[in-house]
Amino acid sequence: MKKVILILPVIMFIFLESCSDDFNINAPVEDVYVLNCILRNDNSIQYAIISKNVYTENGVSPASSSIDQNIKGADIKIYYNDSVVVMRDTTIQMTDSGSTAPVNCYYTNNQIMSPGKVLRIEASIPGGQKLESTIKVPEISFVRLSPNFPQILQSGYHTRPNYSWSWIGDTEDITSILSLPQLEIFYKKYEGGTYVDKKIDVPLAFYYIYNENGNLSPVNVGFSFNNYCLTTLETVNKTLQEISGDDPHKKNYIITKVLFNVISLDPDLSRFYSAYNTYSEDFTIKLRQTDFSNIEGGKGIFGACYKFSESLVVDSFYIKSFGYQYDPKLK
Amino acid sequence: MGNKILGSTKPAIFSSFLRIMLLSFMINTLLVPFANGQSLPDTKISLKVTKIPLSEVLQILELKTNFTFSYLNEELPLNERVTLDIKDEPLQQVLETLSNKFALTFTRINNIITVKKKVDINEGSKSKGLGTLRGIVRDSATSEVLPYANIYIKELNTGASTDNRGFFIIPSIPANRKYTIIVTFVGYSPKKVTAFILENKITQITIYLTKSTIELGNVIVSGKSTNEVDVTAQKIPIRDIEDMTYGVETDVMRSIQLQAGVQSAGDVSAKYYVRGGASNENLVLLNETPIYNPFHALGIFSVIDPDMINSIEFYKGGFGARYSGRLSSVMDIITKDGNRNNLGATAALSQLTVKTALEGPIPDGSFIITGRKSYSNEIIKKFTNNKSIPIDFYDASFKVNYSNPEFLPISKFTFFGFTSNDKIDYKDKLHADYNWSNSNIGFNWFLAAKNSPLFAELTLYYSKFSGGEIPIAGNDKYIKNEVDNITFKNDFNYVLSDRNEYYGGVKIDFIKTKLFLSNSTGKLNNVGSEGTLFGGYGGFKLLSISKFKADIGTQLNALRLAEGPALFFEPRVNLSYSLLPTLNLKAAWGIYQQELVTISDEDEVLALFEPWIILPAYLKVPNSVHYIGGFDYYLTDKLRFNVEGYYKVMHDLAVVNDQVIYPTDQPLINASGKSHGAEVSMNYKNDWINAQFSYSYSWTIKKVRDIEYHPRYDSRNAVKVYVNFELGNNWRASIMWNYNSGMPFTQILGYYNKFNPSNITINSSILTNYAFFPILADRNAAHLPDYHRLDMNLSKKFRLWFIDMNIDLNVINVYDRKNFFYFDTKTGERVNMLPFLPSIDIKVEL
Repeated sequence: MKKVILILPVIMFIFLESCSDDFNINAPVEDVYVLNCILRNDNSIQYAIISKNVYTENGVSPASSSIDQNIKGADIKIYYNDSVVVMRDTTIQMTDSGSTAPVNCYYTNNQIMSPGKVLRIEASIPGGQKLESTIKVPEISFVRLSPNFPQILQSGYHTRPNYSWSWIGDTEDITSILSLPQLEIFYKKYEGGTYVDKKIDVPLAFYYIYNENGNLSPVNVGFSFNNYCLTTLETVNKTLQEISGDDPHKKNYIITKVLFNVISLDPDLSRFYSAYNTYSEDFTIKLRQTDFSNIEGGKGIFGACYKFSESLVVDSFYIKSFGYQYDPKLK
Repeated sequence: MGNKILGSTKPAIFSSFLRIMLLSFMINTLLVPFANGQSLPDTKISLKVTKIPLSEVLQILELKTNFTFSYLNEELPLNERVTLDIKDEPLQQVLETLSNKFALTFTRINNIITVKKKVDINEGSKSKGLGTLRGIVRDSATSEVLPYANIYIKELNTGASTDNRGFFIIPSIPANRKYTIIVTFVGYSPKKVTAFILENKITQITIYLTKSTIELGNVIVSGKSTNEVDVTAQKIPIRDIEDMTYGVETDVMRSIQLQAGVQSAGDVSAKYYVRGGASNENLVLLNETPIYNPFHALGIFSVIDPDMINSIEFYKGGFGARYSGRLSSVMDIITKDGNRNNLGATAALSQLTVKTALEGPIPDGSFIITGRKSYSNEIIKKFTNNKSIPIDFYDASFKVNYSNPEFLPISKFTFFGFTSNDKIDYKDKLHADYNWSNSNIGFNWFLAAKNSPLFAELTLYYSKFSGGEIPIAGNDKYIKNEVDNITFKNDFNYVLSDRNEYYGGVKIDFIKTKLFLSNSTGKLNNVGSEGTLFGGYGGFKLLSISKFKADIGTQLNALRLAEGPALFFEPRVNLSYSLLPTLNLKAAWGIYQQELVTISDEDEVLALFEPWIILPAYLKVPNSVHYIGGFDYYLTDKLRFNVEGYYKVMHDLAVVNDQVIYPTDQPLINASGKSHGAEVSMNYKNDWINAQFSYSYSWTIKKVRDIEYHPRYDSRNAVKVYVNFELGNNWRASIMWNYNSGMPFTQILGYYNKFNPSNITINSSILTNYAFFPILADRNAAHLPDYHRLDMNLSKKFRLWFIDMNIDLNVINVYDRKNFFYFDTKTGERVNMLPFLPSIDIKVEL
């Protein structure tokens, strides 16, 4: 036994020397092309970007790569009904982002979005590869809007405490469409001898839950598969008060419009959004993450983001109770 | 019945639960009259006499104690000579020695002990009848029971070993004669006692072993144990665990990773994987109570403080019908009872925790309280790639037992509890905090009938796991998990006169799980449920044939937690055959089911905790079939070889759905798998060295959505070497070397700029909002570099004034091997496992 123990280190040394450490975290290189294009009806220009994967040496961060991976010279067409739109190649110098590098992208000024429309994108890359995808623009109908928002009885300011809205998808299963409701108050403020257009959002909630103190607290809205939302008169009051704050000149403010919007993502874009936002706390180290793409022949996303809007009728007496002026068009 | 929301079935379930509890309690209580017997005091005395008459011995005992002996002169062999050398041992043991030597009975009434000759119903006939020997083996200093001690009857060349209660029973002993009983246990001086076996009677003895100050050449009674058939059981006394400091401080879960066939996923996690099974397929029992999350600090350390452990039984597969609810392995931990003789305290300090234990006697029993708390995160940073996590943890346990031989000779009432808690507390409102805890409390009553080889055990416990995020304002995403488990069970064993044994039990589990998962709207969905399992197990151990042994049993359930047929069987078979006195062939087969599962992702290299739920109704019940074969070969009394091969088929495993996109998507899906492997291990023990060497080959594959892959812990070859040297003068040194061939990992094909849709409402976001995202190759198709690590330990015990001290110096990764842990798929950064890391532990004992 003693001999075995003495021989053991020698065997271990030989064994360790034979252990190979050759290994590569990267598999053999393959070109992967990525097409991103999100069409929207609230913008006159539609953009698309095509890029290629980044390959780095063993253990080197891809962020260190200085090579522009965006692809120029591709032929991108969007088909709808019997028509086709060709996107043009351009370079845009971004001013509202942290990066000052110009972005190579494709664009079209054509507004090709309408609810329920089927859209198909085809991109031919200079090397001959093809990227394709088909989507359907979401179709939303409001089924219930709070009438006379906010409804106030002139005698005693007695009001409804809550207001709620709901909507449905006409053709798609509403549960597969992510939506974001918004309640916006548009107003003008008299500044420096002229009226300046401004906007403020009214916080919305999906529902109220009891918090640890036993009080009701709102569950704030984000994109969700819910098709309803609500707010309280107290929240609307606070938002209207925020417009002027401590400014004693309340008459300098004109409430011009109250708009209720629902921004909806088509089912594929909804899946992409959901997969990107799966829950994880900071401590879990996970080696695989869900990756969704609807691009045939590559990666990325082709989607439609459609904004549905309705103007709300607001009681003039209510607006004036804050000291603001009232735009007759609100009636 | 399966999952159900409490409704009309609840009263019926509780009613059944109470009825069965009551019935079982009555059964145990009915055994009580059969358990009443002699009353023997355990006042401690020292006595050294050489060849003096029995009458004088009794007189000396009267002088040394407050007891008076009453007897008839003509009945007792008062002139028979006696030699005794007893130091500080209970009077009970002295009387048992005399009882066994001269076939006497001692009955105590207050301070009077009546001595009579044992009545032999067949006296004079010297028939060929049989008797039974049973008893308990204890430590002489603390009276703590000693599990896995060897009992050897010299004249018969047969024996048994004690179970994890320190209890043994040897039936079928030719009666009406004296036998020499040799009791051995590693680290203790062997002891010889004599016992007189009466026909059709159970002779009961309590044997006290004294710790040897120097490792003596213990008599290893090998291959003679008659009461064991378990093929894959590793029965580990705590002394062996204490010797295996594998990491910063002694840790049960890490020490168990030194067993062949037990795989770790790296230095960082104490989680273990057994023969291709996932970590959530391992059952961890503490005093018969399941611990759902047995890990502190993101799985880095186990919650079981080794100072509270008395014994561990670890089954790598093929476990018997007694255990249920998991697919892979069982770790059955029994904690210490506490010192029955003296009050004592210990305190220990490592670079991670400070801990203390208090133990001592109570009337007819003892207690032990332990506590451990982390006080520094510096060591934890070494495990988390130098990331500072404000983690704080503690665990505590207590156990009180009562066993009055005047009331019931072999009976013990035990009340126990355990809690562990982890908290990540940033003490600000910017970060979410996290908290997870285990708690359990239970009662156990072990009872052996007086003149019947029947013993029963009644257990009632409540076990709870709770874990989750403490949300902060503005963060609506949230996770919270709770498991509440109330269990009542009654086990029994009946040993036949031909050594064969019947065993069985009934069990009711009432389990309620809650798992709140927030969806993308912040809405909490509870995917938990509740259910009741009512079932039992039964089996037969064939031990009467000298060369062939078998254990055939089954789990039989009438009501299950999950959906599925209410009535189901889980048959198990263990066989062994002694081809030669030194060669024992063995085989096992069994079917296993698991109805409590975790939502844990195998691709997470670190995770806060694994949330438990009852198997959802949309999944089939996971089950596995084990096929095991092998042999034990004793080259000498000190050198043992063990070879085992296994094949495991896994059906309907519950694995994380890696394609969850919609909130309505189910978090788990069914998968299948299979594994096979072979293990060779060698154990050598002598006075100054304890060495273990093992090699294991394993192969595991899983299939999810028709795609096959090797799980991340599927290391093909593993070599483990452990050598412990007793250097004398209370110096001890050990080395541990661990080698694993590279584990599977997923290569990357590069990165692509992935659109971040968080600001999708902003028109130009498509132009600028991007982050690199890895493009992965086939899952786990490549292998990491080989892993190997050498650890060393040097310890010294010494006495400073009245304090016993133990200082341990540990060095992890002596040659600073850069073992690969994982690479960050976002940045490509390589993260290594533990570097060269020295640490020191100090333990004081009062």
